[in-house]
Amino acid sequence: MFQRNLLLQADISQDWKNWINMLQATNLTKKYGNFTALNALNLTVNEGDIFCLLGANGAGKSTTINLFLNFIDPSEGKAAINGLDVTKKAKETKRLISYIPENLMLYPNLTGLENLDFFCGIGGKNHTREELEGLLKESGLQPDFINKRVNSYSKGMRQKVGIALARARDAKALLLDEPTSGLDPKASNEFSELLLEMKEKGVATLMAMHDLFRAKDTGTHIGIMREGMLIHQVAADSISLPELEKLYLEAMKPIKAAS
Amino acid sequence: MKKKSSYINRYEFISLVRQRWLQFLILILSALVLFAVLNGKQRVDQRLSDIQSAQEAVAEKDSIGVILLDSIEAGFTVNVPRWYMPDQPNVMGYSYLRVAAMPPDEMAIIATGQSDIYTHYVKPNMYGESFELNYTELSNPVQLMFGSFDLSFVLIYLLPLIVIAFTYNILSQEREQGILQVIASHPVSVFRWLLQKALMRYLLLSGILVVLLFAILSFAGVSLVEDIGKSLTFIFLTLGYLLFWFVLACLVNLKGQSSANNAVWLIAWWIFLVLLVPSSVNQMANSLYPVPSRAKLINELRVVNAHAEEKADELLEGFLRDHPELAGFEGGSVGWQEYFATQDLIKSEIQPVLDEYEIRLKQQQDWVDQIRFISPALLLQSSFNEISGTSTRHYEDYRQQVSDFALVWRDHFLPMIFRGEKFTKEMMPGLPEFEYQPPTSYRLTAANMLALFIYCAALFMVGAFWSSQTKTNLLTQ
Repeated sequence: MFQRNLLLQADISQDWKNWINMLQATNLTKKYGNFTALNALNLTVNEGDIFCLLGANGAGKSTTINLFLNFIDPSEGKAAINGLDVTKKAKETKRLISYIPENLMLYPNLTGLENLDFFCGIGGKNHTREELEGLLKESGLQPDFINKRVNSYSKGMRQKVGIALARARDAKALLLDEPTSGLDPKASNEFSELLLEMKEKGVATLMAMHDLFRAKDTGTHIGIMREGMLIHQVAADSISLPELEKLYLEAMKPIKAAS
Repeated sequence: MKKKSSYINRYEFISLVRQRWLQFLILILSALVLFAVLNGKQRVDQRLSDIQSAQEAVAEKDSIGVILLDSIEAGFTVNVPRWYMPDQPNVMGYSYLRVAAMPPDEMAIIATGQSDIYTHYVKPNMYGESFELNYTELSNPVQLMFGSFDLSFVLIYLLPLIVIAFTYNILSQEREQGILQVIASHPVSVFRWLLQKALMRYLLLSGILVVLLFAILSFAGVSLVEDIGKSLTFIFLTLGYLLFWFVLACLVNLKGQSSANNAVWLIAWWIFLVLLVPSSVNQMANSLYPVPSRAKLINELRVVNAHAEEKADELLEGFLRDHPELAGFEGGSVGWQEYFATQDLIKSEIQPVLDEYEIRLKQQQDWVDQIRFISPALLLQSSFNEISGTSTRHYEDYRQQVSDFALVWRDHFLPMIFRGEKFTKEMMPGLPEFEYQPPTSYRLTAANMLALFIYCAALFMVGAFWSSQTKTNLLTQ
């Protein structure tokens, strides 16, 4: 048996009840034939929360993100953004979110500014050139690169364009699928700082990742997934990094050893 | 507030320019259209030149004839053989012929059609011997439907390949690069984005093509504004065909396969629709309605001729019984009278053999007309041949007009021969003249255009259905 009951209580802020459940999974399940990729996930991410999902490859982290993005249909249960079912109100929910995958791909023949303008445009947001330049600078992109084609960008630069896009679109929720994977520590740290800035603005973030340190450092909540199930959910400030590491490693042990 | 579509259009355009796609398209299309139009122009010019030469030869001969007639009528001795004497009606009817020409249509440059296998001018004489042989294409008319490097070849064969190269990865590229997921995380449906992108590319390619066609055809001396109905039909058909390949490419992309797979699928469709179907239709037409051999026809003609000549006296008697208006004149040449009497028999004897050819050819053409709907390439080729005035129907119609004229020509001289009358200079202006009347039915072209747009609409509907079914394939790796 998985340690389903090992749910550490989160030290949640006193006024949490006033916060809106921006991202909510209710009994969310995804099956591919006999294989269950996600099993009855219940999860809530409030405004200003950064929920870090940890787990091995194939644990169901990306499936969870894809379900919130409505890229795939759930077999059971519901994924809701700001209370709206993503399968029934796809356009409305997508207006509220911004997505940054592990390796944010942009049009290589367009500049960072043009990419930002394009994605804002198809997202229904119009900005002036000056506004877009300002957003890119605020997101940490070197001014020299703003008008250079994206094919000359590093991964970190592209992720910064992703953050600029989330800001430009005034996203209420961020869905991030291993966004710092492969970034050097400095770039990873810069990215985390940008996330914390957005947290302060009340943006709800659901982030799938492997980096325990970054999860503890950046996240407000940490969930550990295994074989499609969320087996642990803790408040980040209620657990030390060594405790988190121990918890994670125990969760990753073979089933017989863990039980 | 700018619309989403304007962002898609703008950045699609910028991307295409930076990838040098636009420049490549303009270059390759200009080269192909220019080469094809020049080829077509050369063919049409040759045809006009042939007709003009024939008419000049007739005018020259007529002027010699008038001089000879002048001399004969003035009582001078003319030093030419008897069989060149223009005062003999049989000589006039045999040597001083009119040109029965089928001048090329204004749009003939577009499609060679049947013009490279049928003659476009003849000089029917009063004997009309083996006359049909000149006009009856003894092989399947579809066989040579495709072949010349003309504009129709570029538009039917090569344009789809350019569309395939331009669209095979219209969606799969973004999917493979991971951009599609970023797009799909925005409040825009993948299907709508794809349509907008495809529409942008379609309009771009259409614009380039239409401008090039107008410019290069004008350069070649073809005015597309002279017969605006025909020109618009040509343009709409081309754009409809282009649309078909664009919609097909989008449909293949919506299956969510790799770019390489998409390219293979699209090339397979091209081979099937543009190469296999027309050649299969050709083979099937040959098998279903085989045309007897040309050797058999010539043999039968010879046998009937020999048989008729043996019985010439007997035949003349019967002929005069059937044509009492030609009997009882003294002075006519008995030899010629016998000859014409035998011609009637030959014609009636050979008619079933010729009819067999005609019927088989017509059956083949009817079958091809019916089955052309299975391939847009066949639809377009038959339409282009119609617009260019080079279709089998046009040549069949011309053949009929020439046959009718040959009878008029013969009937003009026959009474004079039987009456033993002389041909005079005053009779020259009264000689029958041939004037080609092109058929003007647009029913086939209109039906083809409708069929093309039905194809596009049907594929679009399939695409809309698939897009709702293939979300998982498209957005997850």
